[in-house]
Amino acid sequence: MNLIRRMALPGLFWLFVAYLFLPLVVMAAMGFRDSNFVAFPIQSWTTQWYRDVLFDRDILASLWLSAQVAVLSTVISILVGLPVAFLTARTSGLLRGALVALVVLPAFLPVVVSAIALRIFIGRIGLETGMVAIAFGHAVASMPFVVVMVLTRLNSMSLNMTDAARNLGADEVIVLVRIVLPYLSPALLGAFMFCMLLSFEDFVRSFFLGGFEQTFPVLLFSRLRFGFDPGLAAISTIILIATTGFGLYAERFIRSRRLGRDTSISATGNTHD
Amino acid sequence: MTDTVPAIELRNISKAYGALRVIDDVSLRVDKGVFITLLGPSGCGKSTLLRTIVGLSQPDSGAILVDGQDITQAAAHNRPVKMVFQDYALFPHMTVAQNIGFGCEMQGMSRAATAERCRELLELIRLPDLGGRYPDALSGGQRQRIALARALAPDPAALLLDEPLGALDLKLRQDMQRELKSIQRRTQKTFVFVTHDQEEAMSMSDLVAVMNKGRIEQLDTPQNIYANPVSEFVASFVGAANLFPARVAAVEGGKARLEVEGSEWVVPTHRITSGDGLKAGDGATVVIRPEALTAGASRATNRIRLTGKVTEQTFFGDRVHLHLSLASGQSVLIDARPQAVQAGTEEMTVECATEDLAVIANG
Repeated sequence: MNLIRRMALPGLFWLFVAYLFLPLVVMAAMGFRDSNFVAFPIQSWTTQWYRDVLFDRDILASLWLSAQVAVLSTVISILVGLPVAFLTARTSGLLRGALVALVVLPAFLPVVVSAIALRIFIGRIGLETGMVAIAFGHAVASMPFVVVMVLTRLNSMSLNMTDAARNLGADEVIVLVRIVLPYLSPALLGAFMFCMLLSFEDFVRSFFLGGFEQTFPVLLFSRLRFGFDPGLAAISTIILIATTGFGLYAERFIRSRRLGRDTSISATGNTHD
Repeated sequence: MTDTVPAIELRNISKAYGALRVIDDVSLRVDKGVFITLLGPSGCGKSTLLRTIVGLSQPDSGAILVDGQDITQAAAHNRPVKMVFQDYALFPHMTVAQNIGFGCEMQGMSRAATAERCRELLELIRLPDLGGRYPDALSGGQRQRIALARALAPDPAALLLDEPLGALDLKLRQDMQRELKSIQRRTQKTFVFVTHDQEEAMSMSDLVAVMNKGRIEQLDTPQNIYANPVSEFVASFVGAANLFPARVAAVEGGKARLEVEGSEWVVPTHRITSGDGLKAGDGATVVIRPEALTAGASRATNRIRLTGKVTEQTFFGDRVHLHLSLASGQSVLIDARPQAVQAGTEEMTVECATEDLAVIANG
């Protein structure tokens, strides 16, 4: 009885971990199966699938498109989101609440709805489906996150800091470049990485806005329709490792920069001389 | 210094937020090398006045002159006066040296000259080894001095300090008061210091401007402000004061006869510190500092006397505070030496030399 009580919680925890990660492990293993079909048990092993993937022109082309879209959409959402954040930061009270709600709203729309709306919209303004249209769609989706992240950082900034810079002889442009942007850099870096991941993993908007151009998730989907071979498992595993690595690195990088500052403030709070 | 052009001159500055007049027709001349303090309660307009001088706030009317030049319309980043902010406002992403050098750099000073100036200032504030640190790795007192050095680096026409010691604890605050005063003496800079702490104002300044409701009520040396307050506000804001409502019975031969607390006080007219003198029938307020009241009734003339019941005694070591309740019901605070007070005293007579009180005309 006692044993059960002691083991119940850790047991549940490990069950949960297995539930999360077992599918991924199975997928990674499947990539090594020496057969044209995905099935258990794996009787003979090969690295052929992994090697094939690296020379598959379609996959490489879709990865390249996804990368372009990610960079372009991230640049757009930061270029638009930053001024919106500055504007919102200057307001207060009800107006501010309304502005923030307006900015954040697109993030809560059902993705399919927003994708269809965007598809109709780009048709109306005469924009062809393809890379630019996808990037545009992704930028719309990730801009709210840019605004919120920048706004959070701006809120912690002493207004006196920009006043002090002006007092010391910096005009508006220098204040922005030398004081405000460097202060915002952790938030901007975080927003950058977040937007990149968000764009890279998006399927629905890319599918609706891409036309004949296929981003990586769209290509995977179209391949699936012809059956699931171990090659898909292999490429998925590679991407999984790459994006997880990127995400973990980003998270650590941002945290080390921010925490590095905050802890040193509290540690040296009131020591004098 | 034979230069007679004031470092800062304010001419009839006014500023209102809606119906609220934050600065109400303020004029002020600050001579070069003077340590002046704007003293007043929060909301009296002292900080706004400071921000107006550096151009971070624009006055509705009036003119601001620095070294004789009208800078009222100049942009904030082109003004030759620098400011130390209450929260220091150091740039967290720059090292101490980069912070201090920022103003010089903005003036187009060469890299070598900026570095040299930086070294000088770190020397001046006695933190020569901290140039490479980031602000968050510093203590409050160190950050305070870095902010001071940063504002001094571009060699400003005057240095404005907005409650710079407000965030420090008492001990550090007192150290920094001495340090600031000493830096001001060594650099011969004009300092305009803003505080709501009257002791800080008294101990550091050459001149104090007491502000209330957007106006300067009195501008004088700390000694004169304490001894000769021109208004009830100044009397009670600077130090403790006993205020007695009075009526003027007559003014003749250099003496004013006042009716106070049901008796007649004869006061020399030079102790009337405000207005154009008094005439019979005027209302007035008599100000007596707690330490000007001494126990006992001597036979000396030129003394006024008060008798009342001791309602409260507070012992402070070197001083004792007594509260005396007069027949009229008014309470009087007396600051005395402990030896001068007998234990268990219930009724007490105190006196004050008429030279030590001040009379303020009402209205």
